[in-house]
Amino acid sequence: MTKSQLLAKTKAELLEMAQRLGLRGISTLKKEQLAERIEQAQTSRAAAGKTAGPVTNLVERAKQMVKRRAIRKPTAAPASASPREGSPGAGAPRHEPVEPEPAVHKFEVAPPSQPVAQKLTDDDGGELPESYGTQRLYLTARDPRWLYAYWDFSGQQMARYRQRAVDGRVVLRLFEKHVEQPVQEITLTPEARNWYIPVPKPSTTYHAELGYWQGRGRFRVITRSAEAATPSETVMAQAAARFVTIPLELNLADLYRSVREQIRHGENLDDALERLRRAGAKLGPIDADRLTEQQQAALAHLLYDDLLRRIQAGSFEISEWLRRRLLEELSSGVFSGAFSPAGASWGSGALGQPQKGFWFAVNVELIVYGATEPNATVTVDGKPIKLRPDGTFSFHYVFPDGHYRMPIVAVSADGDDRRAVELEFDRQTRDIGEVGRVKQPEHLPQPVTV
Amino acid sequence: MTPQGYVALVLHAHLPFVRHPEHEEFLEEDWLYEAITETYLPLLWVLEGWLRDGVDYRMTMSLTPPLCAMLRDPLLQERYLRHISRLIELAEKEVDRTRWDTALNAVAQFYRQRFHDARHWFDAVYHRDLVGAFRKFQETGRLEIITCAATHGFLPLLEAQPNAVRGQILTARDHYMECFGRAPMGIWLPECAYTPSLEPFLHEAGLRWFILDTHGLMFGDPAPRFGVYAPVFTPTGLAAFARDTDCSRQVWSAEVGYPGDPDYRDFYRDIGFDLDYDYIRPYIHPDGIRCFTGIKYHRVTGRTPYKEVYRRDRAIEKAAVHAGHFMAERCRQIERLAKLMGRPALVVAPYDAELFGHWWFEGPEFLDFFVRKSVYDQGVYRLITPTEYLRAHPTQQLSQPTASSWGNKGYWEVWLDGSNAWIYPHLHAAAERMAELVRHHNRPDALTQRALRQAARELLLAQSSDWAFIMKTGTTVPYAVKRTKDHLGRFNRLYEQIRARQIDEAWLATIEWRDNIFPNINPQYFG
Repeated sequence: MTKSQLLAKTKAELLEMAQRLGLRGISTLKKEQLAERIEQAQTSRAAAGKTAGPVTNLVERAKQMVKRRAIRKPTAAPASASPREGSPGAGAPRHEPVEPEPAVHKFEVAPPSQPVAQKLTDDDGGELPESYGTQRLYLTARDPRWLYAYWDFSGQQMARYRQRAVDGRVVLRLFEKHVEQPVQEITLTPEARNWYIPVPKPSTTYHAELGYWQGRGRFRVITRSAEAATPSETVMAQAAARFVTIPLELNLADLYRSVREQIRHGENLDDALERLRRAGAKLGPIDADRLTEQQQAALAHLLYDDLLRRIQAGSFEISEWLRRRLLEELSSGVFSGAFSPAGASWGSGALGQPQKGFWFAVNVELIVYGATEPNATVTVDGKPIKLRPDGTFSFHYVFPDGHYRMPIVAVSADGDDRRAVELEFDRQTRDIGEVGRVKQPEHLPQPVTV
Repeated sequence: MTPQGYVALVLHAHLPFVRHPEHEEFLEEDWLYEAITETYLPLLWVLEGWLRDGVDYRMTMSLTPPLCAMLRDPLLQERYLRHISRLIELAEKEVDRTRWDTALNAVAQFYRQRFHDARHWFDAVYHRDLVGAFRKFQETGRLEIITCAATHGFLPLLEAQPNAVRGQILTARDHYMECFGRAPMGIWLPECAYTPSLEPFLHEAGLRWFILDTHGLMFGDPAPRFGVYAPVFTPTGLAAFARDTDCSRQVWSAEVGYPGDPDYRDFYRDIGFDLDYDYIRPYIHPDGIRCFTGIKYHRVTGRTPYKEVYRRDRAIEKAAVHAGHFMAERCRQIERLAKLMGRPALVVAPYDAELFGHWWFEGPEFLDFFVRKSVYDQGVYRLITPTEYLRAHPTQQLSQPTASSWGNKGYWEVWLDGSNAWIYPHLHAAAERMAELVRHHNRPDALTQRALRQAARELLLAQSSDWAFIMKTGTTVPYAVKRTKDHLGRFNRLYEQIRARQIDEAWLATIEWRDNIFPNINPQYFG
């Protein structure tokens, strides 16, 4: 929103926006200053990629997913990244839809349409350092197709390396395990602090280096990351299944500790158990749960049955289809346990979105208020009510169409004095055009307190 | 009769540590108070009913360390009583206000009774100790309580510093033993986030099993022969169970899920927003900000903004119908599976506990019906806990599950994207600094030891996955950002002070008073 758009709002509205943005120290600001602060905050938020709106429509989401899948096929083009904010790499949509997550409702104190402005506590530690200067390079696999890297360098350190580089640039190189040449080489923009790297292979181990080109084609490595393995995204081949017996009574922690040192790379505990078993311990693999071919086929059929109804396919297609189905379900939120925020309130969206066209809602309540001696007894319709310490009282009543009687009686503390009123009410309503009943206005005025 | 299979119900109960003694009232503390009224107490009532009626149920719950710490905290217990007493006062007024509208009045009376019950059980029956109340059920042998990471850290993104993971897991194990007087067998990995390198720490804590999302097991190597209907043993010998998709879909899917039923209570329509401002003012946020009160008069009704008034009796009947449907579906599923597998199939149904009651208001009643029907109305499957299953079935396939989580798209993306990736350089640096402090102070004096312990607390609190999750989902972002920065800021200041051997004791005492989680924390775990 531009400043002029902001200035078109009332000050109360601006204060509310500022609160929602988490701005503080705003109570004394003039309207214009307030608009400036909001504009700044919105700009920096947008830069942080927070402007994405929720996509709740499943069809829309599915479309996005398809698009994303298409885009996710890594291209040769190096990813671009902006500093610090950690934008996704090239081709990845900047504004990813925010998917509903199962736990999100735990953190709601208001409907989504009514963000509650927060009053935050005093600062403690102040702002965090820009960097720690450890010169570490961190690499992790965010998912089967994306790696994420960041590096912890001070501005000075980076500037020094850029100076040494023949082309003034620092370079991020990505290596696949057992491949000598880097599989990707990304020339970093000076302000970059992290990078999302699309990769072609799930279940693959990578590592990265940060460095620069010296003269005569020599690459100087500044730092290396630890290895990061992309997870699997598909059903693996049905290799011969191996079954092991690990009784719950077995002290696994001790056992694991004792064989941990002897486990060779790629070996599993079962082999260690086997050794122990040969040495006389009563554990180890046993033959069990062997399935017949027929049983296996039937089980596969059940596990993937929707699929098989549609395609008569070999095992490759089956696993491919299952993978896609899992991914679709993941993206739709069904699979991840995430559910639509519409789950327990189909109409909740309506609270959030302005209604189309003109609308009108009227509610009627009856307020009865009064006062007497603080120690007197007051009954409404025969039922005692509680007086405030100063002897006043005030009650709200839902007031639907109809005829009502309400006797109110006050009796003094000593029981000597008695006063009463007999109230009678009639309500009749005629709607002319569509008029809402139970619903309050969409955006109820809220007093702004700072 | 031998069952053809098993169903393992698992509820994950968690809230981040939110406790602000420095403020008289604090909005986000309501997360806990609402969950007590709407989820934890109703679940306890269901458990009490099963105990009273001798129902031979089995259920598993994770009660995370921050949740247990809050439930055991005297200040928060006191504040819960204040909260529920205020609600009772409001409900009394509501009963009066709605006297001329029979439908609304019935709902108001229902809430009044419920809030009175909540206060009575919390205070007079459980003596404010809900952790103790759950523990009692574990001791009957029918409820299994498992642990989680100390502050629900997203472990795969912390393992840049392996001792950060170790600190999360061992601190959680110790806290579990303090709360429940025994060692945990299973762990709920926060967000079901798993990567193979976590396993040595699980072993060190004496844990035997954990739960994965479906694809974590399905995409394992080699492919699991029984799909998700049996656990696998990982190469290090831990058992990995996986979530069944059908169970998730039936409960949570937007199209076919139960909670969207027109008869169920609507989550969003709350009198905190619906009623006249002056009237509701004393019961919303002290600054006058409208927020949920917990009194909601309407039912889902349909895909319309128009909402009809809630009918408790009809909603409960619907919960019974849904529980019957869920049971029948499990029978069908397990009968089919058993024929094919040649061994009893296991269906694992894990859910966020707070969704029962807080989000799906009738969720606890659904569970009650489902469990009772499972025990009495069918003979196809038996309810079981994972530990009990492993005791009965110690032979399983060997497979290496793949790294995975139960978040959107199944991996790390929810907790690592443009909105929250900025936290990791700080979290990693702090964990590394923590390790350095512990290494350099192996015989700390009393004051340094206090500072080291507080540093470990601040580190753990900063690592809570909830902050990254909130930054991503955008519910109360400034609070999550602030919590991350505050704990990291306090940690960094402690680090400087410990290194310089100039500990500001008065300030240390203040943050000990504020961030009082894990009084007996062992800093050595982080070294």
